[in-house]
Amino acid sequence: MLIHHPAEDTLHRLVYGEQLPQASAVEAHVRQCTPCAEIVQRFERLRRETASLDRAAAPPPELWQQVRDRTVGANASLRAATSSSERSVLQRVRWPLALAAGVLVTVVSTNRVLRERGTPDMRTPDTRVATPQSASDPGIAVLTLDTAGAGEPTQRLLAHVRASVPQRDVFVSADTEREIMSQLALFTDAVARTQRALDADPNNVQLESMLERARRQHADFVRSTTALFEGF
Amino acid sequence: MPSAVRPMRTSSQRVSAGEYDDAEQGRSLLQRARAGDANAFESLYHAYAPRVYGLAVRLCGERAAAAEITQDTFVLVWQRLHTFREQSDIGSWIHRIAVNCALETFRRDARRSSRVTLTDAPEQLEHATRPVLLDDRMDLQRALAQLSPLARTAFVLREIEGYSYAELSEWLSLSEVALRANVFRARHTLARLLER
Repeated sequence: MLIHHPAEDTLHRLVYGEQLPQASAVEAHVRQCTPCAEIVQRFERLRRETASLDRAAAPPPELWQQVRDRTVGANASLRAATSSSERSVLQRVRWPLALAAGVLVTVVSTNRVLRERGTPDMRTPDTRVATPQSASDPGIAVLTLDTAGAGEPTQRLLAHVRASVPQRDVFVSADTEREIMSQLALFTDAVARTQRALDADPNNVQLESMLERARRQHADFVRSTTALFEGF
Repeated sequence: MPSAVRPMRTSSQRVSAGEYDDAEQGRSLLQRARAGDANAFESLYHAYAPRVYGLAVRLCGERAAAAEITQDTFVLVWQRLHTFREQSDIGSWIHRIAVNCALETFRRDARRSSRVTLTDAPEQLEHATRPVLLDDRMDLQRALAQLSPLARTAFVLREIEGYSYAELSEWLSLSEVALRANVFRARHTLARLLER
């Protein structure tokens, strides 16, 4: 039998069926305590309304037209343009040129972002320049990443990148690859060092928050880097 | 006229291919869309756009932004159709793209706000510019719009869309403890708002 009101956090865990020590004691308390029963009712109402929420909503009718113009419509225009037998030389090399420009922009922006050491933010460089419009578009650069001598975190990153871009290899310059790996090593090291400091001083709240931040930055970096490759 | 396929399922509602009785039709549409068939892609759009738009409205609490997220989602779907490996159902795949689009939009908006106002707390700014509700009656959709973006995102993806804490923790770059705290705060605020 509880001798005090359970915390609101405990009551909501009860309602949501989450793991709760002394669940039967809390239930018994709620049966006899009007204020706690009211809180439970509030959470139950929220749970009911959440469950009954209609997950679909009709998008604006004109939205399809806008999507069409950026997808199948754009491709139709391109096909019409390229079907002409009198294409100029410039038209014929348009896609390879666009691809080369895209790769260049991507590599340059990668280098620029990765050189900004210290505290990387959530920026994801704009890689859509190099995104082909459809599966039938030509020109995906192929150059396999060289993983020889890479450490475990690097291998994990590369495995993640490869899983994100199936059926394709990704072009990056050797310099860019080295930049990515050395930056990743910095983040991994920061997490490990902060973790060691926290292990030595487990009650240090500041270290706890630093560790969370270091982990977040590590995850952000992996995500941003992966997004670069996914952009292809 | 686009043919109908069943709406998407979320991670918590994943089903085996056997249960998905028109999976064959979905696969056929997918193959045709990959080959550049505009009608097939339109069918996919009409089948899945309502779930994407519904998700976007709940995540950003605003219809114009939700329409933009929906549009960006389907442009990415079109561009990446050939990368979809069919290991999950296409609805789950589109759903994940939609969530990523929404999160990326929030991050971009937060960066823009912080540049303009020189503040570290874009969440507070978004909170301050949230439209005032004119109707006294509070339903869940309206109550959601009152939450901070982070609490709303955590609540919607966890409670409504059914993603696990582990998945969301990685996705949102938050520890599970911080994530659970945000979901609790959201439940607490929503439960009180619904009382009104």
